[in-house]
Amino acid sequence: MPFIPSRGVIGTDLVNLHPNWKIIEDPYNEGHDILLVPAIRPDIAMIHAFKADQNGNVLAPSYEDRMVAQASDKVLVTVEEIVDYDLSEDPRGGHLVPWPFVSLVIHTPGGSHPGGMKPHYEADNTHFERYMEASRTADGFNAYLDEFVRGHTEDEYREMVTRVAVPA
Amino acid sequence: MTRIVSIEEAGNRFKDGMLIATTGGNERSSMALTREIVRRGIKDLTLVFTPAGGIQGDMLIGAGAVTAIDTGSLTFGERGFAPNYRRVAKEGGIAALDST
Repeated sequence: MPFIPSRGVIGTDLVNLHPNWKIIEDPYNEGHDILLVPAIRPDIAMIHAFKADQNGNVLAPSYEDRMVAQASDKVLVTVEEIVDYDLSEDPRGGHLVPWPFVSLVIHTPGGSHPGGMKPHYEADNTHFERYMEASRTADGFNAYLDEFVRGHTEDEYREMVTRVAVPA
Repeated sequence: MTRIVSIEEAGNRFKDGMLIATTGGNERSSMALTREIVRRGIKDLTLVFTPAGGIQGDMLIGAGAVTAIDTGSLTFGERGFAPNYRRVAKEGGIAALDST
């Protein structure tokens, strides 16, 4: 879909914030304006999903995951597990993102931490509190990033945060 | 055909100035790729959150990776405001659009 026509936004400041939105005469309603909002075309979509199979079919948590995948140029999907069966034959428990819409799959169990990934694991509220406390100042947050992120691989991060339940 | 790769190889796809779409917000979001962007020091990203932003966007903003966001909201839900977004926005360090 190249754009969406909309009427209700005309007259608001949202139009001024988006110079790429266009107002034209409504071809079906002479003398009235219509606003055209162009499609967003992300360079990359980053998605976390339950499962991927060997062909790159993905089982994702929400309908939005598939929508964003279809809209984006490249689609990077981290997954809790990689399975041996064909997910397009058995997409129970999630929303199927078919392989043509998936560029790369990365196996990162616990990849949503500190956020939850039900039914695999709940949110890590202790870590959230620590993150928010550190974020009170720019220096505090940089110290957090140095402790947990910068200079540490994702595997090292997973070992540091103990409450992530890694699927067997 | 889709390829199964390491997170380091996937991280090579991120470049300064890109438009990046995320899903999930505070739950079920790719924090692994979010951290990989921070490790690489990627800059000048524009983020679009579907359906709403959370700790993904907040971490990237706090790390200095983001120039603009396009979203209806960026919060920590029942936990409160997104702390880095709030601080950086107060300092005028980010452009916030809204297409929702």
